[in-house]
Amino acid sequence: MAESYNSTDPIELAPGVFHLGVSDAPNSFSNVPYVIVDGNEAVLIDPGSALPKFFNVVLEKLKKALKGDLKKIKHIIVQHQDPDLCAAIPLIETHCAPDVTVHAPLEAKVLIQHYNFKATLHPLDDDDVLTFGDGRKFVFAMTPYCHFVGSMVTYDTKHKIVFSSDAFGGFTGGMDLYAGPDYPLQLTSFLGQYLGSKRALEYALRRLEQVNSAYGINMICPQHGCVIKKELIPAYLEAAHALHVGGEVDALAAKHGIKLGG
Amino acid sequence: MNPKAIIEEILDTAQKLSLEKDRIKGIFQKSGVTLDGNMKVSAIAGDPLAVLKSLMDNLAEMAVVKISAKQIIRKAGLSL
Repeated sequence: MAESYNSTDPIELAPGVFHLGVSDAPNSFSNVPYVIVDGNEAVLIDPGSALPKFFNVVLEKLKKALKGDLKKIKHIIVQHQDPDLCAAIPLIETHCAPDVTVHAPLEAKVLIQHYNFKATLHPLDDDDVLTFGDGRKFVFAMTPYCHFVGSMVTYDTKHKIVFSSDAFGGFTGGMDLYAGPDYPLQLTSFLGQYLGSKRALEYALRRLEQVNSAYGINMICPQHGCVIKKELIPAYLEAAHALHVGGEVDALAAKHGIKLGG
Repeated sequence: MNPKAIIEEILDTAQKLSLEKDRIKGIFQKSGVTLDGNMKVSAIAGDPLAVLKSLMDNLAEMAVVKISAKQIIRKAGLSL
């Protein structure tokens, strides 16, 4: 399997699970949508940016992954409301099944509607299940305040993959597919600044550990950065537990002489 | 951690976040930090704290590196 991705080809991470990543190298950033095919249906997760230089890459990869049949896409999942994953919804929906549904956390729904797409927007709550294709099940786990109240991760019960959204994302200037020696720093640089609540992070991590203990996790697929293979998951969970988050508040409070409790 | 050590850690981090070595080198040199052929700090022109402040200003054009540099500075207990 390829160890890096490119600007033209989707990468099949597991049978029917495709990485559609696009690199924004000058900004040390990447967006990674995923499409999952099961039977005659497909689910697109976090479709990405509306900027043509990024959207066109994703669209071409999607066409290759689905062998030109984008009408297979019956569901679009967006795991929070940010534009780097939602802005492409109005552009991509025109290629999808006529009855495509967008699924998003309840608390994100009120914001996501402003991307102005036509598809039905279905709100999700913790432990909701999406069944598609030949009975494939995705389970949604809410990860509130990590980094938005309406944030979630998606668990693919068939291949035991967690699509983790911003959790386990990292800043990357390269196009490495899998987390390598520099990824701990790339991950902590991203999460350390973009997460505000240690409590929220701990909840999300412990929930993932519960899932790992009960059902197993073979792979973590974040929306930015690199895919984390099974053997490295415990080390990354540990690194995430050790993260100091919310430091920007402390720095500004110190600067302005504001004393914060707790 | 002294300002020179902070500058070195920011440089090391920058190279883990970006593959654009020439761009990194240009920003550090513009800020008064000379790098050798191995992308290590070889000289700092003037007061390291003033150079660090200048570096933070110039890193605005590489936002992700600046975001990480802010964390390094906080961790070092420094306030600029």
